[in-house]
Amino acid sequence: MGWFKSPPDVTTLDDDAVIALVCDDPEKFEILYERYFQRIYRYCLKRTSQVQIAEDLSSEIFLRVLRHLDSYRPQGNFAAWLFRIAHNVVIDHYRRQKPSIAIDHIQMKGDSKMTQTVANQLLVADMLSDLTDDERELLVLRLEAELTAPEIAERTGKTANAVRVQIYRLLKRLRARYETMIGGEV
Amino acid sequence: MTPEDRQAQLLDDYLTALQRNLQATIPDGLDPDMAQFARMLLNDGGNSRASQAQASVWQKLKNTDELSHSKRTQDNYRGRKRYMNELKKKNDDKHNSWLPLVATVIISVVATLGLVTVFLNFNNDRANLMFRVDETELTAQSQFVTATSIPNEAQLTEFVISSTPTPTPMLPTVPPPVSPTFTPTPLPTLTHTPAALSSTEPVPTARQECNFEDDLLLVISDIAIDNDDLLFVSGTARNDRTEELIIEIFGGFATNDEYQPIDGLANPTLDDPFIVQIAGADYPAGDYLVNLRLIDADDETVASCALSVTFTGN
Repeated sequence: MGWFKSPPDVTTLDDDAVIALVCDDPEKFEILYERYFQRIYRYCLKRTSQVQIAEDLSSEIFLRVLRHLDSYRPQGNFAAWLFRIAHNVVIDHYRRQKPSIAIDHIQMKGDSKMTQTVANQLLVADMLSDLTDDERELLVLRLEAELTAPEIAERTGKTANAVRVQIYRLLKRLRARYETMIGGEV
Repeated sequence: MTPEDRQAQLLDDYLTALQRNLQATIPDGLDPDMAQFARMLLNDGGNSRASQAQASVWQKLKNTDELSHSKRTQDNYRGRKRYMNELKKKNDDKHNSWLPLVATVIISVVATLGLVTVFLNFNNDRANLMFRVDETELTAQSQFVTATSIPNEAQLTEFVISSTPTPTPMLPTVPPPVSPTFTPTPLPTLTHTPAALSSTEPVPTARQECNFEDDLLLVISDIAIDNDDLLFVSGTARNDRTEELIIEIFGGFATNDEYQPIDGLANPTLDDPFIVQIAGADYPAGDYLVNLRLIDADDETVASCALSVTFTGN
């Protein structure tokens, strides 16, 4: 029937439009959650290296987003705003307790033996722990949070090209170290 | 673009492609070893673990009061109204983005017509002016006359600075209208030369500014150490939110090159510039981080902005 307007396809809405929906109906928050959970979770996992803590922090981040959604200004960069909150939550986590070196996230459920992939993850986690906090944050924002170089640049006050070059140098450094650790094979 | 910039750009493109599809092809020109390493980093099983956690975390969230419809509706009415207004304004701005252009064109046309009228009036009026002009003055000012393409040199000399030997870019191209009773007065000496505009006077390295969504502002004006080995950080902060404000100083002097918290100031008086004094340690020249943090009642960070400041030593 052409008289009725079909409801909008939420997958095509931009973040600001979704937030407007959430303001009217908090249950629509699930749309934002679906959109960003994986990126948030991977960000937390890489920052903390612990599955349970990553889950708790992810939950905390979305709660904070919900609490403070009314302070978000529709400026078209919700992802940047969201990952600022994520950063703050992770910082608060480290304030509450000293960072742990545990890397239990590499133990996947159901795996009976350590695969080559998992062994690689162990090495990568070990290498990441050697980076400075700023370097780790930069890599995690680009690789796990999937923020683009311009988005990171806006956040850090650098140019997008400077961010790209810094990430390139970091990966180059990590790769050299990784090759040393495994004896020259990637 | 340097070879490194090029590799960095190719790597960035490849990372974006991998984030969409782990089987993405490697861009031409990207170091294959680097590409393989990047792919390995992204193919770490993070997605499958995230998928496993997604449902359970959502369930946990749903059990909280925060997602209760009635509570949120009551609590956030004002915030929602503001958000909707701002979203509407943003959309209006998008649709009306041509308005400033049209306004600029109209203003330009009106201004041009006005200037032409003024210029024609001036040409008519200046026949009434009977000023004697020194021969030396005429010589001295001829460069301006040439530059402004005004045919009557004798009259124009009264509207420029006769004592300034260098041509000034701020010379009015169209003289003001002259009435028959007009008494010409030289303009004051123009000191705002291009050289002054591009002054190379050093700006203090510590003076920086950052803001977070316009309602949290931090300006650092100085960082120094006095004779008693006190580190002073001074600046101003503005907080338009209701949450408590904390200013923290992090120093880069600790081990592992990481910023370590060294001191801070809770609830600074924001009416006046704040000064944080930190005593009892040896503070070398280097990078420091000044962090402005808003916390809520549960001591959770609501917002923050940070400035890296360089202390160059005494």
